[in-house]
Amino acid sequence: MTIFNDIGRYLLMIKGMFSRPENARMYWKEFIHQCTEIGFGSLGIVAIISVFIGAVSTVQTAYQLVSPLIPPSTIAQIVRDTVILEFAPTLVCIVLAGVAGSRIASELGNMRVSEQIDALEIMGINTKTYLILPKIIAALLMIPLLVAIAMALGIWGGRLAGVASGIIPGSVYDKGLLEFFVPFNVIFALIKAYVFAFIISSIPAFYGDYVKGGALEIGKASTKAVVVSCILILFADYILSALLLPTA
Amino acid sequence: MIEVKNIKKIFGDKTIIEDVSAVMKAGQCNLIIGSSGSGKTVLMKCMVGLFEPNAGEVLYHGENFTAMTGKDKTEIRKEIGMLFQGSALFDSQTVEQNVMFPLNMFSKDSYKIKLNRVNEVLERVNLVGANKKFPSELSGGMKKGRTGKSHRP
Ligand SMILES: Nc1ncnc2c1ncn2[C@@H]1O[C@H](COP(=O)(O)OP(=O)(O)O)[C@@H](O)[C@H]1O
Ligand SMILES: [Mg+2]
Repeated sequence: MTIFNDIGRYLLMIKGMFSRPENARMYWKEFIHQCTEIGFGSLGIVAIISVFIGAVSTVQTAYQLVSPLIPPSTIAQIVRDTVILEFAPTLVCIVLAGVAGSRIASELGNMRVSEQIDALEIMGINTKTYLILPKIIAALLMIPLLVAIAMALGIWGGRLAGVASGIIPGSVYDKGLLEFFVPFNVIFALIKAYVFAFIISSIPAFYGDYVKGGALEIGKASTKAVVVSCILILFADYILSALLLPTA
Repeated sequence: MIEVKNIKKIFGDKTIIEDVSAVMKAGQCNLIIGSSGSGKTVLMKCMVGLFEPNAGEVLYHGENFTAMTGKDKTEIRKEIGMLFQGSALFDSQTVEQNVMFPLNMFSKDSYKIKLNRVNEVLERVNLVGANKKFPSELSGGMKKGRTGKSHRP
């Protein structure tokens, strides 16, 4: 059963990450480097999709709310809640699995194939701790931050579209944003962001670290890493929603 | 002195090397010869512990390396320099950063001392002045010259 084999090796990789750094300063440098790569490297695409997601949400919500009994400020409430609960964390993380995840897998895969990882091991460096741990911690710090930015930009994009297309005046939208606001939704979204961040960093690291062969295999590993990460994100999204959201 | 005793390595159901023994004495130049794909690299990796041999043992100065714990292995490995087929340079770092990497990791010397050490090494392999070049700007032979890195003090 290769799946159990894979899960076992994945858990061994996680366990192998926790060892004493040989030199804290070098590890810190690597961590900062990864923060810039993951954070700033994906900021542009995250900003663009969040604004558009918010804009589309406003237009589509307006299109579906046809009853004159419903006040227009409801549109703002619905946009706010869908962006915070689902679009900002889940959609952004799916995109990040593609952007940051494939980068992590191909970086490690390339280092494995060109024997850079072997060279580090020979020097007596624990490569799981030096190469993988900083990526995961950087993701856990930067991805929830990106998700928070996505929330704000999504809601702003919704306002932009509402005003531009004459669906809802800015002042009404702003008023709607403050109605029936549930702070727990933001906490829930951030919990999701942390879980997704762990998936987006550890799964591609696993596939990258175990690459065997050459350039073709690096490509395959990074595709597989993205596919598996996306499936796990959606699966985790469902489990977390079922567990944490009070329904009925 | 390095001793290899009855080393055997199997991948899946393929036996790559079987019952290999050798004694390599200090100050002597030892060659491992074989056709491509015959297992030279696999043998080397078993000797430095990148692969776990299925049978046999490797002894450094009479001490059984194969049976050592991770920490003791690390100590021995710091004494080893290995040259890889594919150069194994960090391609995102300059030549100077590459050579300095093990020094940054393991020594507490100042930047100046480390830089002197790097320049010494570069001089030995005829790469004077290549400090700020990236590995992709070097030719194949030039790269290998310096993959041994600057490990020994
Ligand atoms: N990690 C591995 N998993 C499975 N087979 C391997 C692995 N590494 C090497 N091999 C196989 O071992 C054989 C010997 O490889 P190698 O030692 O690299 O040859 P060479 O003597 O040219 O250095 C090859 O057939 C190769 O396919
Ligand atoms: Mg070889």
